[in-house]
Amino acid sequence: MDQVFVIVERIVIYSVLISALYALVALGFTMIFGVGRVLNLAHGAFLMVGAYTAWFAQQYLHWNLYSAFALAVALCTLLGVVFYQGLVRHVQRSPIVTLIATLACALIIEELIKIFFTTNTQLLAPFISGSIEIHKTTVITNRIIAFGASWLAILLFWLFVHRARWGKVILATAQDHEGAALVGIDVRRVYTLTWAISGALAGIAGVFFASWVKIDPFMWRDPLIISFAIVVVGGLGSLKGSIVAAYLIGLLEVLMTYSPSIRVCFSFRCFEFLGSSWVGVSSLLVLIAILFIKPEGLFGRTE
Amino acid sequence: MLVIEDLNVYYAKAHVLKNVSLRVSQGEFVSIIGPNGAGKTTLLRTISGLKDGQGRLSFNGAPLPRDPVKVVQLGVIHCPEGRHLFPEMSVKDNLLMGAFRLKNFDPESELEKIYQLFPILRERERQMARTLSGGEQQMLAIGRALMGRPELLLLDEPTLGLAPIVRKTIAEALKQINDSGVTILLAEQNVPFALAHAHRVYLLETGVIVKAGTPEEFRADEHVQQVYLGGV
Repeated sequence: MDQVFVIVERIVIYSVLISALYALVALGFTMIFGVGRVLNLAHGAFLMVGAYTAWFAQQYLHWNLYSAFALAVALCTLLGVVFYQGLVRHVQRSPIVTLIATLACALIIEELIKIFFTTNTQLLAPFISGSIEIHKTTVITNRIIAFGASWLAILLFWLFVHRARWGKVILATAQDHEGAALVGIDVRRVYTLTWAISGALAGIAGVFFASWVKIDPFMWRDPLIISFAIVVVGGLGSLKGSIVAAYLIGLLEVLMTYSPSIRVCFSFRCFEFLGSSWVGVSSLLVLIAILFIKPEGLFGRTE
Repeated sequence: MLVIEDLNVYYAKAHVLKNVSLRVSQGEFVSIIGPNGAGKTTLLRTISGLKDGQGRLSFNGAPLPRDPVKVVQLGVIHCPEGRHLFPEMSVKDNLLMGAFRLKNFDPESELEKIYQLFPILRERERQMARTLSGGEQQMLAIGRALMGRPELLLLDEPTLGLAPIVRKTIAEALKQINDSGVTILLAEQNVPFALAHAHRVYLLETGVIVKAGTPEEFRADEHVQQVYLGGV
């Protein structure tokens, strides 16, 4: 019985931690979709730019991680604005062209990183090294920092959108861009602002994702798939839905990782093929299941 | 106040407005009537900068900018067909968003004016716009436009799909708005509604203004009677 408790505790703690990071990873992607109906397939690449920036500043410029982090966020904010003004603004009218263009940009960023930094896996030093014990579960301290920072970013974002004047302007534009234009809102300026915020969020997420998982030129794929799944599962553009979806996907991933222990623990004899190698599939399984059961997403509305 | 001369508007190759000229003077209530597809909506969208057109448009003597944000800044406010409310925002937030262009204003006293005009909106203040009935949504759309303190209010089909009793409420509200000094340009298919309080009327058919005159002249006109007033 004791062993069961330990496993359950571990699953709960780990999934609560990783899901917060996933929610943060998807936040900028959700916002861009919610406000401008644009699926930014370069979102994962934005995270990667943030991760490499922080790593580069730390490794070659010998900055401490806090300054490196600030540089990564600043650069990603700028990247978001440049990306919108230089590319998305011109192709936004056609969802297909936007998809292809943003995906192409993600691949270009991948190639550039391969050229400049090789395909080697890099490590980003954590904010705080070491680990702590929560009851009987060992948790890497840096992951708790990432958890706290993720929730802080989500809460600040929520407060901004619902309390600040420009936050409400973003909401209004998201709900009806023509209505927004007719009350005198400069819709392009709102889009530029959302891309800046989305870039900043990607920068924050990128640094934490890097220190949690790894840095390599292919690291943009997982965050993109996770973001995509979270946005669809949560209901297109819904912040609340995204958080619930992030927790659903995070929990399922941790369950996959621990499925061998769970089997031993409860003496199951089925699903013996499941294990940590199935982690990547879980978000997509949830995605497809939702498309069948509730295509508009958990908190979505049919449009 | 508003002068339009030789306006031509195209959608791809379709010639939607053909040499349209009209003028609206300060304080007037002008209606544009005409069947579905005549180009009424296009005309209003061109005035408010949502659609490009070729021709001379001027407001208070200066050329009208071709950008909705700048048009709104001049006090030309468009209450569009289909309302374009913010569905997931409260009635109050929708109204406050209508005052976006104003730098200094007292939200409470501005809201009070709208609630005087449409008391039902006060009761619905905290409700999401999407939960309102069609008539209430239309009142909210007009209220939101008024929150921007229009000099010229453009109204597109405010009675579409509404019950006669609601149409009457809205007609009376428009009269009050006009009496308070706001110039109104109304595009409307419902001819009795459009003629009710207007000072002057234009008839638009397939992109051409075919008749202009007072409501009395329109009521007396045989063509208008036959086609638009059901022969009564």
